[in-house]
Amino acid sequence: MKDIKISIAEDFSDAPGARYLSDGPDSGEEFFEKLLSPRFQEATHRGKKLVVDMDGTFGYATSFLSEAFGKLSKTYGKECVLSTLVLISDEDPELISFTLKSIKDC
Amino acid sequence: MNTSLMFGLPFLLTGIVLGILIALFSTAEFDTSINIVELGNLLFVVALAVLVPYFIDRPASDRRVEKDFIIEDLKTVLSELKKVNNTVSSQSLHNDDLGEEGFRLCLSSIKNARAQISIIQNHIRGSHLRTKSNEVDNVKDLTFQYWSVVTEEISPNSSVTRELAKSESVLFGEINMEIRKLIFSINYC
Repeated sequence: MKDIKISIAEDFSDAPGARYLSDGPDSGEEFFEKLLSPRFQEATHRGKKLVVDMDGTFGYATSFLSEAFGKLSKTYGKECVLSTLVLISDEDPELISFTLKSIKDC
Repeated sequence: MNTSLMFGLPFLLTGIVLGILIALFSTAEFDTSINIVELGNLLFVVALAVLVPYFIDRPASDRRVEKDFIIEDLKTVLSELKKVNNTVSSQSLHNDDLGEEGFRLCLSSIKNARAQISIIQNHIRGSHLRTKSNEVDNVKDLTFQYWSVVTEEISPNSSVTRELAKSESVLFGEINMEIRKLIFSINYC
């Protein structure tokens, strides 16, 4: 069986927003609630990896990344997140290190 | 066509034609015996004339092209970050919401600037300017810091605070100075 995949640009928005729902459209909070958390649950239940492709957007706010992935870490535990999540960013590899730091620091 | 060849060719042709004319129409007597030392001397001079530009002028011109290429990329980084700087300072001044368009512009400009720096970093490692790698790394670190500070605070639905505008301006000034220093040192190294 294949891993579960999310392409942020294709499945959510090519212009991800800021931190909270109140900050405007396509926020990190919205991404967490609508896409990241449900797919993460599905991946852990099925014993699969969750592959998140971060390429193809206009760019990311650090608030978006720390909110979405930090909340994932707080909700499911950093060990579980680190063992399930696979991040892809060919365009900007530093996004991966920043996001992993957000997960570990929570 | 190579410019030195383009300028040299008419002189060469003129020389050959003059030589033939003199040989045909001159009444002067020529010594037709070949002096090996003088022939060697002549060949040496010709070889020098050909090899010196090849080994000195061409590498110098290649280095200039490399420098210009990197300087142009550094200017692009600066102009992308300048767009963010203008947007942030203008919104802070008018106390307006950044809006979706302004927010997107900031994110895409910072993304472009960071991507451009990565290109410069890769390019400079393989060039004669690799001694400037540390300065480029420094610009990259500052731009990463700029991204963290600015995009942690901005959002489409809120105005830019004075504190953020101030931090942004200080960081932009620092990056601006570092890039200008780098351009200067690349230009004259």
